[in-house]
Amino acid sequence: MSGNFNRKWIMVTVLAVVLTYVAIGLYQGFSIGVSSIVLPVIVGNLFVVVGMLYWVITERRAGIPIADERSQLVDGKAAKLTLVVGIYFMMALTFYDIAAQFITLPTKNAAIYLAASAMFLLSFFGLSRWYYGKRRSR
Amino acid sequence: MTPVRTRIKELRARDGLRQEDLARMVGCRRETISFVENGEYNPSLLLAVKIARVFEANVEEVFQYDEGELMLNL
Repeated sequence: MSGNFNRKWIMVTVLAVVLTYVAIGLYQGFSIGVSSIVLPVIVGNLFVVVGMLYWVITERRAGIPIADERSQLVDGKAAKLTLVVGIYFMMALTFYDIAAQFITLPTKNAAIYLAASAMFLLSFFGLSRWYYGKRRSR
Repeated sequence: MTPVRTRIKELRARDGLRQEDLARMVGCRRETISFVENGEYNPSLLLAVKIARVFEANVEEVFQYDEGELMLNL
């Protein structure tokens, strides 16, 4: 499978996840408190996705490679950190769900948990990618 | 990894090349050239050879380590 093919499908998948999350969020109806946290994250992610698409198109038109050995190294570091933190995030959600069976806590259906995890992973990967991209990497 | 000193900036100035031009010639991103130039990223052997070839120089003329770092354990 070529690199271009992979990148295209990653972008499409990311966009699909974001749009699905927005659709589910609107359907479920967030409270004002939750919306004040979740909606900026959704909007932020949408901007990042659109920005990434614009960046990929302009760089490709200019004949500049999208990825090289250093960007792959940085992607790998960010992905590794996202995996570890993502597992902790999902464990936290699981413990919350277990706790909700014993004490009264607000809960949503499984789709919301999955969408929240996807959104969290996407945001975290973006942030860690940016962080490692700025740092010296030997 | 040991930091490496490079003469890329000097050689670019000699040949009138921008970081972007060099990046395009060796097939990497401009940021990578910037990091390599500042000794903040050790390039792969392939990239180092490509960069040296652009300047028609040997790898050791472009990338320089202290003699102490190059001591062999014989």
